[in-house]
Amino acid sequence: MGAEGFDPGANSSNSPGQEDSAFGRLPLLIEEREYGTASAHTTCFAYAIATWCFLTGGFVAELVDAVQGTVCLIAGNMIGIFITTMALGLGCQRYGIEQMDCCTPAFGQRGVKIPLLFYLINMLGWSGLLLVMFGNGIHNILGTLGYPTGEWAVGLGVAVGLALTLLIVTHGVRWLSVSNSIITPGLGILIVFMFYTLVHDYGWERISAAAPLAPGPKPLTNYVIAIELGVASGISWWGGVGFLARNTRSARNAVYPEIIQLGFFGSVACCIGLFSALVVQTNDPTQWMVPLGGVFMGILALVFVALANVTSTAVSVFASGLAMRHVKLFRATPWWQLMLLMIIPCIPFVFWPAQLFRMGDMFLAYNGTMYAPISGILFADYFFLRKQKINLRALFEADPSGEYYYHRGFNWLALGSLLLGQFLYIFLYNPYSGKIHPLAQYAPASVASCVIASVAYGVSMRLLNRRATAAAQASAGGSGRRRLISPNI
Amino acid sequence: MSHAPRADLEATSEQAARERLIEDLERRIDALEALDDSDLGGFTALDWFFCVAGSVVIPAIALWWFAG
Repeated sequence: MGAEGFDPGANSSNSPGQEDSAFGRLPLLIEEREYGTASAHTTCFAYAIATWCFLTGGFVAELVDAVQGTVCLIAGNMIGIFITTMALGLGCQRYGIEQMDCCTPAFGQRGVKIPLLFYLINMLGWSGLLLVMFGNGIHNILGTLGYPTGEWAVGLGVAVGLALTLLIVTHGVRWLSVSNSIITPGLGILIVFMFYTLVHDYGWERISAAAPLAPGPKPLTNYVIAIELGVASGISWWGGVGFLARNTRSARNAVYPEIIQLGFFGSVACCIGLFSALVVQTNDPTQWMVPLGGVFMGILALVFVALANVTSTAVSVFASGLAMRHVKLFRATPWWQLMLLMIIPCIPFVFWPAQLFRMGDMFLAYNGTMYAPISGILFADYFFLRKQKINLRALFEADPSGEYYYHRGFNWLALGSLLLGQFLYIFLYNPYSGKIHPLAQYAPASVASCVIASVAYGVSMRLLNRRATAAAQASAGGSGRRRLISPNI
Repeated sequence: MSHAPRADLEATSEQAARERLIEDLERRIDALEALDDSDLGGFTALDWFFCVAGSVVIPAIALWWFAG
């Protein structure tokens, strides 16, 4: 998630150094950062209004009705965005760095590959779900036009979507910028149109009376899981928060647009998906369009959503490729090979689209498992341990003498805290089995996981890693003039 | 013509590009570390209050209220 407003074609006419800084790992200077207040808000709005909002709304519609679903989506998303944004946003903005580099002081030069792996799973998992939506869209368009097809058409649609994605990311990055500038406002119009249709044709009474699609036997359990999906939805923006924050010129622009646009307006878009799923009684967004808009408008909306899904997938795959440049093995890999490598994990969606799509709510919750403890660790590291001071030179120093090398490149205290947070999450809520522990009704699993991981990391670093604490305090004055011994770029 | 001189030329060119990249990185690090926090805009206690209240406290109250 978190990449639809991304503009990969921007700055391509600049000098190679500037292009590297925009799309590689070089820290961005203030004059290179694109976003002032207005542009940060509009870019975040573009991020927020994306077809995955429909998916999230649909997942929540399985559990709770419109009133509770609205509260879970908006409140949960706001909490999730807060958890994700504060440390990552302020850290990336202050130093002009991207999110993986912001994780290095906590996890170590090699340990940062763990958040990188989670990031890739997140990006490619969402890509797969969006491509299944693309395949479902084609299947439904053909059915509406009088050419009914089987599930094979969905898989074929996923394959076509993968091919289009590969074409875009290897040949036409500029196309992505152009299509983004059309699709994003178009999605906004579509969402407004859907809202109007829902209110005008169905009315709030009917929407609020609609039963959830497949709730469990216990209402409180359904509610708690729906809250968790809302929080996880906010936390899922982890991959996009750092990218935006890095490009802003002030700390407030790294935080408020994300909270307001991604947190609030993004969840409002999810609510449109929630209401649509409840009145049409399916969580497949491609099956809402014709009942809501009629045949002509429905097909038009489906085509538009299909294009939006391919665009979002292309941006996610592109961003994944950039992230892979953190791995030494792939730093010099030709771009087209790297893109092909990113596409390969999505191939199972060609053969098992329905089965994998049904696991979408589990995947959404799993984002919480991955990013909630990481966010807690970053919070403790950046604000309490380092007092918002990072040794920028040490971020790019792969030599064992570097401040963030720790033990063989890994900060085992951070990794241990991460595991603790994940175990706690699964203990409170198991996304695979759907089992909820009674304690989860007092704190969503994501929030508990975040807090415990944060406390465990902060306390253990203070007590056990005095070298890191002393170095953090020494870094408060900057890294000095020492040159890089072994740059990891 | 043997391939060795061409390979050497490519290696030299790649090395030169890498050295430029590292020089650029060092320059950026120096520039960013020379900045004062106020150059990048402040984030005060009042900002924290608004963020915590708006993103955590009020949503938590709403979630508790609608739990039924």
